Amino acid sequence: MITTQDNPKIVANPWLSHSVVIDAIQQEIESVATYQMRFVDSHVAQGYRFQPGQFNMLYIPGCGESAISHSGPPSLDGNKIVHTIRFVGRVTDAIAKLRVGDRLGVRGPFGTAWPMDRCKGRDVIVVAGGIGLAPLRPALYSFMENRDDFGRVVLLYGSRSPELLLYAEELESWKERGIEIQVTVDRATESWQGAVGVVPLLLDRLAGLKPNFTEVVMCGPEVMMHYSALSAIKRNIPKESIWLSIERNMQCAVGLCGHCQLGPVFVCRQGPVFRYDAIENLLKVRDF
Amino acid sequence: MYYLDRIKLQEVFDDLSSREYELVGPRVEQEAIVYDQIERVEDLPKGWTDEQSPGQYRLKRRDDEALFGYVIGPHSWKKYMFPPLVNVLSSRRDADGWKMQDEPVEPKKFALIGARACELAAIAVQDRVFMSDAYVDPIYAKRREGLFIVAVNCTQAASTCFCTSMGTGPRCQSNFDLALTELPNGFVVEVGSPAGQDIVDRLGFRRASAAECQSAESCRQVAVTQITRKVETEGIRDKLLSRLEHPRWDNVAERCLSCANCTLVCPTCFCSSVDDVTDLTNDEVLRQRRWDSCFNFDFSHISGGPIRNQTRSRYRQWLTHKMASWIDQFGTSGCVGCGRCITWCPVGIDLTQEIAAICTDVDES
Amino acid sequence: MQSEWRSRLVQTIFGDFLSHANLTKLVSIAEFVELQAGHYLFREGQQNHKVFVLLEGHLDLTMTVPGRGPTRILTLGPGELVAWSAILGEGIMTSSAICVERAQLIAVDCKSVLEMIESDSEFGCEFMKMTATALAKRLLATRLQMLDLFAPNK
Repeated sequence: MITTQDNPKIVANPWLSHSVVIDAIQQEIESVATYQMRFVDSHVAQGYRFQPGQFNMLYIPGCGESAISHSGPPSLDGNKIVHTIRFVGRVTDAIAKLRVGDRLGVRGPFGTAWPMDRCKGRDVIVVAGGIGLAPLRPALYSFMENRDDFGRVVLLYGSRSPELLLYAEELESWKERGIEIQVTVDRATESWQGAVGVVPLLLDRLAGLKPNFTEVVMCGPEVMMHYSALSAIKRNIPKESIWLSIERNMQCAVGLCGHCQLGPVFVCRQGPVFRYDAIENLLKVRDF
Repeated sequence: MYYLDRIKLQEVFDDLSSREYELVGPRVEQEAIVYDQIERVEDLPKGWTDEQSPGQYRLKRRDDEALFGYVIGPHSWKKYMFPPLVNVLSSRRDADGWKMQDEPVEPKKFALIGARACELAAIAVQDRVFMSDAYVDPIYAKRREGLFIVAVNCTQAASTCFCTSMGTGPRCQSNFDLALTELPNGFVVEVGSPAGQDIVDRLGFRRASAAECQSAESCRQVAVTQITRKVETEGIRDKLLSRLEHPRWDNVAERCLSCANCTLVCPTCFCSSVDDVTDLTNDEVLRQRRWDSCFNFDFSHISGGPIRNQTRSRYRQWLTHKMASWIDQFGTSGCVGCGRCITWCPVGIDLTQEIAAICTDVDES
Repeated sequence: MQSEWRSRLVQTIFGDFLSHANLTKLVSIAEFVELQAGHYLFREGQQNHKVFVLLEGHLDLTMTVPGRGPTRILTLGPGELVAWSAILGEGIMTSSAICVERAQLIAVDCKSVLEMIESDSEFGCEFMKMTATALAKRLLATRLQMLDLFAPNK
């Protein structure tokens, strides 16, 4: 299995995908489901490791590939790979038709990871919007599995409406494992008891913030992340402590096809997780 | 320096062929000088020259019989190391499901005949793209290994050339096996590698005389003096990347057709896409990599639509990548000053003019 | 008592914009308000002549749509300005404000504030900048809600 971290130069076919079989499917919110899969080749399964924030290329032969972030616990190997997938295009719609026992192709892991080491011993604010909670879940699992290694961990999560909150039932169990959680929606329903409004507002008014002692990790719509970053900066959190995950068109995932470029940066290689100051200027031009 | 009589050039071709090199070089096809398979010296565009200007390319007859008396055409050598269409993976579905399989990389031995200095620079640029980072493209690497390059020093320039500004020519400095400068009856030959020296020794080239060397130098100098276009490269990276909302982008967007011609003819452009091709049963699938272009509408597609959904943003991406971001990525400019994009743009957009317009400060003009 | 609120007021939007002297001026005409959960601070369509800043707790703003009933449109938290429209218009509230959990606020009578604004242009400038900033932030938040960023793009 190719890993981006260890090998200095890989002269192998980057397109080689490995068979995985689907072991479980869980319907989540509308148009979203979580797939648990395992590499068919047990050697490949045992050797597979990923870090929170990284992604795989999921392959449906005859249809194409889709870049999907890991959403499962990073302590597991290739016998239990978890991907939460939203059905928004040709390839993901094809994945939606798969059943337990079906096979597809996986290659990876690719990309950069959430800065777990930097978070050690510090407070962490996890800012998530909509489906953006999925790429952050591996980091949250890490925080929970090694709770004492981290300070205060706060999840600020927003979605469109209450029925579109991802992992809603699971959130309660996270509270029990030491994660402070605040949830907000753009549009409330009658029965909704939580906050109404956009996610950056939660960050604006978060009490007990220690700006020089905090890392912020964010994933969600780019506009939401942009304003959340501004909120964090207004609260004196240094730009070097703000991290976000960016989405661009990924094809080769190894920096050779050119599709994922954001200015000089290859999002598949130097991202998708970026430190805010590294791409701050690139994000200012919306259609760059 | 050595000297090769004109009639002995075929011996060089034959020697390469006998060692299983596929010779590729310039020929006249469809009223242009393109790169294709060649076998004999007679296949070369003897007595032809090209006249180029923005959006214009014409072949004209020379009044001599020069074999390399033209500049460059729409083809570049990149199609040999970075093929326009190539298989990268195959998949087969059986009772258990899909099984994916590596596509073997065929080794290839190409002998490039007539590569110009700007083209050698372009190959060096693509070497960095495909072979210098964490991931090496195995197809490019295999073909690059098997390359033999017979370069030619330019003895004239097209009006669209600007290799001097980009520091890539017109003189061939490195990255070749043999470099020829054409004289009326033969070639002054420079050796660039042990493989080149080997041919010189085995075929018994004689040493060039002082007069022949002098003559070659004068011919090369003609190319230098004929170059008129310029690009100011000092500070170009910072200038372009700090002017992403300059009004000139709107101006060029009105003219640009987003047709992708420039990326097709550019010898350094490397963007590609992959598609799956299936048989009728849908049980056998071939994954193919093909050339793509940042000018294509869907190139930057994410769910919801392309990020660069206007010609303005796509032209800006191409120019800033080529002249600025490339430096961050690979340590050199992506442009070698060959001028093909100027010649082959159907509306004659000249990037040297666009760069000048964008990079000139108001108080400087 | 007043000095206790004053130090808490400094943490709010008032503290961001008003100078030491002007904050003192404001405190001299301000009152402390406590609200229990479920109680209204003001009602949609009714007159309200006070402007508030939240010290602690949360308020929900609601607007009533005939046929739909009251719809929650925004949750406000500590530090935020509430009922800015009382300063600017005729004091008819465009939404209701309900206390979500026990809240503590500082209230300032609008008539007095407007008199201060008229008589002291430096105070007026600071106060209006504060109001404009609060409004701009509210507008941006509303736009982000409107953009429906989480809607799946297809």
